[in-house]
Amino acid sequence: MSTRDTDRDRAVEELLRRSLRDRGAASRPELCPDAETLAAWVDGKLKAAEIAAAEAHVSDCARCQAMLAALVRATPAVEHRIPWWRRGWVVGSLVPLTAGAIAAAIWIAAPDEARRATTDRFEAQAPAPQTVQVQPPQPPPPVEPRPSPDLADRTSALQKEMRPAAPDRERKAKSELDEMPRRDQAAAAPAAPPPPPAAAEALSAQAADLRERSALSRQGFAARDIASPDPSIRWRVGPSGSIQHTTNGGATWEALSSGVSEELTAGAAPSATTVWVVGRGGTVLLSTDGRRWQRVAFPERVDLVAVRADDGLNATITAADGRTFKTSDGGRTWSPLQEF
Amino acid sequence: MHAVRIDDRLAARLYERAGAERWRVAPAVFTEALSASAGRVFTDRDPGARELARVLESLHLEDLALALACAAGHDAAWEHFVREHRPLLYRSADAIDPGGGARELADSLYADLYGLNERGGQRQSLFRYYHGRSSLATWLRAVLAQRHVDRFRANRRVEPLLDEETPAVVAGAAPPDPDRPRFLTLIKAALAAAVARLTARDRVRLTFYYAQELTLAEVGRLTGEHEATVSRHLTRTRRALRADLERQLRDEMKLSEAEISQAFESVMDDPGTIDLGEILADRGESKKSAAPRSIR
Repeated sequence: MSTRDTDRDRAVEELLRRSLRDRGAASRPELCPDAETLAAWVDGKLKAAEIAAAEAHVSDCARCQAMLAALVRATPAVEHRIPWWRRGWVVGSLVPLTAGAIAAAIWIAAPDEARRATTDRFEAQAPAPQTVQVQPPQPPPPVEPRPSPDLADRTSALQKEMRPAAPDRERKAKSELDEMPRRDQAAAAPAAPPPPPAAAEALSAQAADLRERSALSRQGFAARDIASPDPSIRWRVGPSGSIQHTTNGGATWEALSSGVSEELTAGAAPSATTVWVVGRGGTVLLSTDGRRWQRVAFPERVDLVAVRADDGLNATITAADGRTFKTSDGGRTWSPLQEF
Repeated sequence: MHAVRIDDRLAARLYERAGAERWRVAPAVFTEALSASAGRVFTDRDPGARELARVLESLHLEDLALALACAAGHDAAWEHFVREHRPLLYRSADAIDPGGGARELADSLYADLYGLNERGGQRQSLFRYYHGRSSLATWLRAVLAQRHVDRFRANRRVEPLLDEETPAVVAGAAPPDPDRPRFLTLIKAALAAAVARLTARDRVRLTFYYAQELTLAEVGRLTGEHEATVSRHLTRTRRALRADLERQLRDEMKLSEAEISQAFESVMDDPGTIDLGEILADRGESKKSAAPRSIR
């Protein structure tokens, strides 16, 4: 792909990000599908005609888009049951199955000598398993647009698609389930009655946090929260390398210098001082004091969308195309996780 | 709403399957609720017996029975609902707004679900809007999300936009290219036309991925597709949009190849937001009038 193509692809993505954010803001709420229809959509219970009608409305309605996005984020992935006839892998699996049947037919039909030669040739070409060794600093390769699944990525994605349950999805579901009891304990303590006066300070902090988020949202700052084991210490990351830090549960936020300009998409804080942050274009940041950030070399300039971390040495990162990479030495070396 | 008659034997079978007896829901009330649920699916016709049975059997019947009992003020049902669903509601509130802003909405939702308001001597519980088409859990999340978004949008309307950022003029910077504003206007107009020509599903994928910033897997939950499929569709749509933009700039707006490149560059230099609706209105086009086809 030429530089011109890359630049234009990035420009199109930038246009989409900025133009679709408030598209259809003037929609009339009385025309919107009700909560049960949207819920049934997310549960996979709408008929095809109803889905088409809902999509036609939602594609032009900013209110419903925001609602559905909030609903999807609030609904654990494990609760989603995509009917088998809507799963892409049912049709997609016909391709490799057909290819396999053809290969078997050729195998049976081909003469022994030709078959032996073919086998030898493949064995000679088979590469040995490799571990990605990162040698920082490296000259940056050309920036790839997001999403940019090339043929290899697509093949990898298709192979993953054929499996009934991808390991990373299971891990994510498990992670969410693990998270729930902790939040439940916090939720169960204060019952439905209004909060006592002693909680006024906490509510004030939450209100300040809400106002701050509202202001950031108006500026197009879609912040992603990173919680630490200490509830009062959090970070949030967003566009243009933005990182903010709070040590009082969100009452005030301090902007930190990340040293990068890429959009940051996710983070994980295994402790109150150790934080991993990932972003577009292979951006990986690590902080061991919660305030200063060190860029960690990553083997590919792909968009990174998720990170899990046990400590400052062990982390697993997921790319936008679904591949996962693991480090056990603080990001000096990365190994792609084999998922086939 | 279109009233659909429910056969007595079917109603009795579904009543038993829902466990409605546990909450002392009257069979007539349950049958009426089934009829209302069917009326929402079959809005303008009477379904055949098998089709009706299939739809009703697909309902979340146990949740429907629980909702009916709660709406009627059945104490044991309400206790069960609070025990089972309050943690879920709080988790959802935290997921919707990690800053805690949605928790008070979750609390206020309980008052509406319990039906503190009365009309004509009857409690008006929010449960009356639940018909069993989704799980009760997802419906509760949807109501919470709806209230959160409406509050956020209402706040946004009344708050003064004090912090609108104006691009700072950098001292000593090169003078701006006088053609840039024109190119930017042209490419925005071309984008508005190109997006209007996409199918609704393509626009849904683009919007939820680029504007709402859902992950590929989350977008796939809405479209019923695997994340790899969503990724392929996004790539295809983005390429089609770019091709459409280039075609419009070249053939309709008569720009040279160098000018087209400048137009794309102007996008990266411009920090502002883009209101496609406004652009379409200025061009005298409406999204409804645009040919609903996908660019491939």
